[in-house]
Amino acid sequence: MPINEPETKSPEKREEIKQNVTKLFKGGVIAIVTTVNQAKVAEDYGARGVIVMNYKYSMAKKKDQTPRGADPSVVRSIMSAVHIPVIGRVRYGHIAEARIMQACGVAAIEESDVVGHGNVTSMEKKSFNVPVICFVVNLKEALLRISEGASMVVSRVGEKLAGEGGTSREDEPNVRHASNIYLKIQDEIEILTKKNRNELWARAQRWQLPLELLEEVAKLRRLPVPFFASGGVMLPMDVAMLMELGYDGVVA
Amino acid sequence: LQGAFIEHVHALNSLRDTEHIDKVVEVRTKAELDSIDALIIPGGESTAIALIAERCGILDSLQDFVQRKPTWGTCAGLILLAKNAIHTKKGGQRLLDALPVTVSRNQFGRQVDSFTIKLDSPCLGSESVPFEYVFIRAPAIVSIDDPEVEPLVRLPPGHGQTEASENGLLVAVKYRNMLGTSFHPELTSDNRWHRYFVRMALGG
Repeated sequence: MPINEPETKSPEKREEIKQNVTKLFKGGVIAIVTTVNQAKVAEDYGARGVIVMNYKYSMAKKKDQTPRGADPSVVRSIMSAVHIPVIGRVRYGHIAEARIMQACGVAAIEESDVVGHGNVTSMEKKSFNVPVICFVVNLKEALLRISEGASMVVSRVGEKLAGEGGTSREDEPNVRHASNIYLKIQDEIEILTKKNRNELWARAQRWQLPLELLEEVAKLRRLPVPFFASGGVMLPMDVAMLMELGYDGVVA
Repeated sequence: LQGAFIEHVHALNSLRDTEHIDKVVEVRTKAELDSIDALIIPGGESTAIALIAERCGILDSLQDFVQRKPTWGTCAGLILLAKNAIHTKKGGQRLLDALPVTVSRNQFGRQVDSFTIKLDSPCLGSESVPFEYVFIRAPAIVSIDDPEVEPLVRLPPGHGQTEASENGLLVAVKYRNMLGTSFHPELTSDNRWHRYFVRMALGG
C-alpha cells in the first residue's frame, strides 16, 4: 500500500520548505516594484520575482504620507497580474503588516527598515508559513536574523542602525557598499572557519547564538541561506560584478 | 543559468563513486553545452531561465540539444521542455517545444501550498523506502499528448486538482531521451532520481 499522506507540516518541515523556496531564487534578479505595470515589465524582462513596496521612508516623508509596508490591494492586483513570486515588503519588526502579507498569499515577506520601522525589535519569523527575508550588514546581524527564522538575507546599505528608516542611499547609487558588505562578511566567516569548537562556543556565547549555527557556517564557509545584494544595484555590469564576488543574486 | 543548480551539482557529485560520471559541468555557454552528453535543466523561474538563455545566445542550441541528447527538466525545467503550457503569463512564454505534454504552471497554487509527500516509487527500483517528493510552487502534467510518453509518478487523487479526476496528477514522465519531473529531487539528500537519470542517460 503506497504511503500517500502528505506530511503534516511540522515546524521543521515548514522551515525546510521555506528554505527551499528561497534557494530557488538564487541566480535571479528580484525587482522592487510599486505598481502592477512595473511588475509586468519586470516579469517580461526575466525577473525572478518582485518585491512590492509602498514608498521608501524618505520618499513617504517628502510626500507627506505615512510610512508603511506594501498595500494589500496593490499586492493582490500584482499577484493576479504576474506568475512570478510576489514578495511583500513590510516595516522592520511589523508583525501585523507581516500577517496581512501572509494572508494575501505572498511568496515571501521582506522585513525592511527602508520603508520604516514598526517595532524596535525584528519579528519572530518561525511562526510564519512564508519565508521572511531580512537585511543585514555584518555576520552577527545575519546570524541573528537567521536564528530568528529568516530564510534569506540581503545586504543593507547605509550607516544607520537597523530599525531607523531611510537607510537606502538614493543619493549615491554606488555598489561598492554592497561589495563591501559581502567582503566583510566573507572575512568574518573566514575567521570562524579557523576556530576550534571551544572558540566557536565562546563566540556563540558572546553573540547569543546557537553553537550549531556557527558550526554550520564554519563548515559551509558561507551563510546557510541565500545572500542577495541590494543597495544601488542599477546596471548590468554591477550585477555581474556582485555575482562574481559571490552573491547569490540581486535585488534591484 | 538561474535556480537550484548547485544542489543538482551536489547530487550528481554524490553519485560519482557508483556511477560512470566523468565530469559535472555548470552550463552557461554554447561551448559548455556542446561539451556535455546529458543535461539537467533545474528548477527556478521558467520565464527567467528562457529569457536569460535567449540573451546568452544559447536558447536555439538548447532547443536542438533537447531533441537529441538525454535531458532532464525539473519544475521550471519541465515547463521549459514542454510543447504546451497553460496558466502561463499573458502573451504566453517561450518553451523548448520538445516534450509532448501539457504542463500547468503553479498547479498547486502559491508558495503557501508548497508541500512534501512520501510516495512509493516503483520506477526507482524495487527498494521499499519511499521517496520524499518536494513540491515548491510546482507545475503538474495535466495531459499526455503522445502515446510514447511514459507516466512515471502520479500523486494520489485529491492533491492540487481543480477538476475532479479519478487519477491523481502526473508529476513525472519519460519520453525518448527526456525526463520531466515537477518536483525537486535536488532539494533532498536522496539521490535516487539523479541515479535514475544518470542510468537513463548512459543506457540510452
